[in-house]
Amino acid sequence: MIRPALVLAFIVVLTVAARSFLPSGVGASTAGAALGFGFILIAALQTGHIFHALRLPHLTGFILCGAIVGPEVLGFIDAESVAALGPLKRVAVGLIGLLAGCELNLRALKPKLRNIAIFAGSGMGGGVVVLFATFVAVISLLPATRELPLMERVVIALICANALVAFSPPVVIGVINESRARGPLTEICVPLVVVADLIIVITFSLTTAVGHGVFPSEQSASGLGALLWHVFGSIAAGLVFGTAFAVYLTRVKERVALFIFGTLFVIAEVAPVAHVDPLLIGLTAGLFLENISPVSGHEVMHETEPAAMPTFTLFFAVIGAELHVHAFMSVVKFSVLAAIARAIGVFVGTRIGARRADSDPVVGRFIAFSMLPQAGIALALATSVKSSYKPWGEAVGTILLGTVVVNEVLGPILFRGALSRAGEIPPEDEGPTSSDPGTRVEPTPIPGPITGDVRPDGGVT
Amino acid sequence: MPPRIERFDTLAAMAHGSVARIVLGLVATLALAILANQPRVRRMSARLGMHAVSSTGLPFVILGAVFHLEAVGILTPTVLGHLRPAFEFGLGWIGFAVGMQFDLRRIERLPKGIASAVAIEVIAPMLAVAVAAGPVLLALRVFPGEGFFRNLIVLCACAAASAPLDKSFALTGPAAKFLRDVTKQDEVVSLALLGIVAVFFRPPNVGVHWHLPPSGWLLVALGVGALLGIVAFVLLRGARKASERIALLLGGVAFASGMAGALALSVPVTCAMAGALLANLPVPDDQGLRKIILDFEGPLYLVFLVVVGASWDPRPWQGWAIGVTLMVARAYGKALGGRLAARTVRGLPREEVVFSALLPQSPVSVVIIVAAGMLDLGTDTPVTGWLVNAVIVSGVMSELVAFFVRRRVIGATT
Repeated sequence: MIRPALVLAFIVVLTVAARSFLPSGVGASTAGAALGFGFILIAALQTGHIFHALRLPHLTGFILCGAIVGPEVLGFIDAESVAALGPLKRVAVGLIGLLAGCELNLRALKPKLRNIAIFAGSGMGGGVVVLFATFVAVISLLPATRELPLMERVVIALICANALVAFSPPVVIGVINESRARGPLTEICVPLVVVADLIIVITFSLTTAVGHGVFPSEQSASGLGALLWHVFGSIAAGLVFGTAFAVYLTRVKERVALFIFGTLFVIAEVAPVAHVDPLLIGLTAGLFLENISPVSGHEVMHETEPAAMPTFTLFFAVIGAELHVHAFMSVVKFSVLAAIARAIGVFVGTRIGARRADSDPVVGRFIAFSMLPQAGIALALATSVKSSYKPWGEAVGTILLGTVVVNEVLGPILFRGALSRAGEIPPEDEGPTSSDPGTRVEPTPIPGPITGDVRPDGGVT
Repeated sequence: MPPRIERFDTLAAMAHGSVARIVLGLVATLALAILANQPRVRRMSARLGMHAVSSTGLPFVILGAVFHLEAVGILTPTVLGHLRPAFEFGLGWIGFAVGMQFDLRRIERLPKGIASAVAIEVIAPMLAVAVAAGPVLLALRVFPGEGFFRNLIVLCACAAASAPLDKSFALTGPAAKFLRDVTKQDEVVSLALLGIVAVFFRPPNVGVHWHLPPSGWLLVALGVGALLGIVAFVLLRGARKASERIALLLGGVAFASGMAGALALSVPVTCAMAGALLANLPVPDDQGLRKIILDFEGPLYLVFLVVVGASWDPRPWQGWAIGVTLMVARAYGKALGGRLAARTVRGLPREEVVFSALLPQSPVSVVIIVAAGMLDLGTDTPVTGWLVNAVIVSGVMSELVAFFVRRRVIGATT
């Protein structure tokens, strides 16, 4: 722990020194992106080590590091540099979707599908019900919404509940990989949150259609058709890119990682313009590769392995840097309330579901914790609410973002704790690892399937 | 001229038609990759010696230029803006990779005389270019006091670097060792010259607090390079897994690039110093480290050269004039160097083999000219654009000449 703390301090001092060279009012515009990239990557990795030594997830360290060094707190990374890292973040989202899809072998999942459906339905259902009730009450207190008719407040609460029930496959995969967990709980977590998030994206499209019906705006002109395009267009694009990956992997086989990252960059560039979702595209492409094409999804995982760790570290650190800390502080009481309500809803829902599911008792006890972390999708949905509905979207969206902040920071810690209590984290990973200099560098192993057997050392940590 | 990359705050600027073109570009790239990997195509390109062309990186420059054409519209300003971090980082990574070649233990182990021969082969083309390009620059009204010496040194730096040895020569023993050492050390010399330009021809008012004499900037540059090398060493010593090692190396090089940029130092030179220091420190598994660097170097070069190609303006005739001069003088220097080196050490390959092997220009020359242009920001002059054009023109012509000479040499050998 001392070594990463010293390295972190050293890097911070160097960055502050470099910035002091610049005259006041001049940003490190030309070098900002590279400096921001390097600084946030190194700082996040060191913070991850410190958190690991404290028996906390690396991911929480990455996110908190980003938040602390980001523009809203210490400002070592300015907003411009964070914005310059945006394309990398979108590439990471696509990669996360692709790798999650590649890990989902539907044939292997078939025996667990009933349990997945039960836990997804009960967890989401419980979360939505309690969140809906909470937001009906909260909206009556907010100056921006309390004067609205009851029907409109109900619709707002429905939109908020739907947006906030979203989960985080990247965080779940990341915590599992970094803790090297394996067991019945681990096996069901990833497909559960992936499937649940897919459902949430679709239901959010429908909820938004209802919302635009009640609160018409310029953006609602496109209506349900655009939302259906967002979902099904993404799936169609995913199939196209999945086919392209499969053709490349079978016919070319050279510079596979470059082709995949290049394609993900194209997806990241095209997605906002074409109104499609990089995560859904990546997920569909991964599912196609693993389940339909002759190419194994694990081949893709193996090829992208070297670049996966820096990509994901950067992704989580940038998410942290983008946290609206000041906005969060202004709505902290509502956000904490919503986070508690969500946790209660999910917890009660999965407990009820566990009675009907034919699963290991450990799964029933701890599965709710895999549904607590939130990140990319929840942030996107909250941002969508904030920007789509005027005049109340700003206030309500800020509460949603604040709730995501709470779950983003605490979710990985609680989930890792649940994996530990379920006895699925190997003993050697429970305690702090050696920080001695010159520790032997282990070769990166080829990842194994997560559905039947969690890979021992993934690229995502 | 350094690549002009504009930033757009919104993606809305991208027209919907561009989406289709970008997707079509991807499909075309996929089709080309599949085609290039067909056994028949591979056999044909090997027979023609075409695979050597890719080592110079010029096809990617041309690809970037084509993708940037308005009619094609794939590399739009928005897309280029989003590639900017990779571009800056690529400059640093390439510099770092060149610096890692400067292993003093390896140089000390060179057989007697080889070091002198390498030095001759590196210095001769630089002198030839200095003699030939000087009058051309003067004729183009680039006078002393207006960047004459600076631009001449940059051209000499570009002239030194040769592309990696083409496998079709199938050389072994001291001959291969000599040629490989030349192609490694000439890049180090090129970057060293760029470092001199960055320190001694530093434009005033480049946006930092400090105002130092060149000797002061020399010390700052050396100190920052060494400090960043130590940072990289400390980071890599603490890596626990191979994947973490990659992440830390990427972070370390990006940090070095950003630090150099923030201090208005040359990015590739600073990173090369950090790399050179690391190469001479006891890093665990240094072979694995070199492999990581090489694995990432290719894709980064590709992105770098494609972005340079997208900013390339081949229209000014002055660039062509300098380019032809650079190519001819460089070729003469390489031939002269080969002849002198052969007299110095026995057992070296024949002059024409050395000439054809070292004639192709290294993509590092494009890095140098672009990095030099970035140092010159604020002094809005067309000369930088001419020089970028000249280096690309010289690279293309060198490759064409080397292609025909190589076929003749290899044919004569076999």
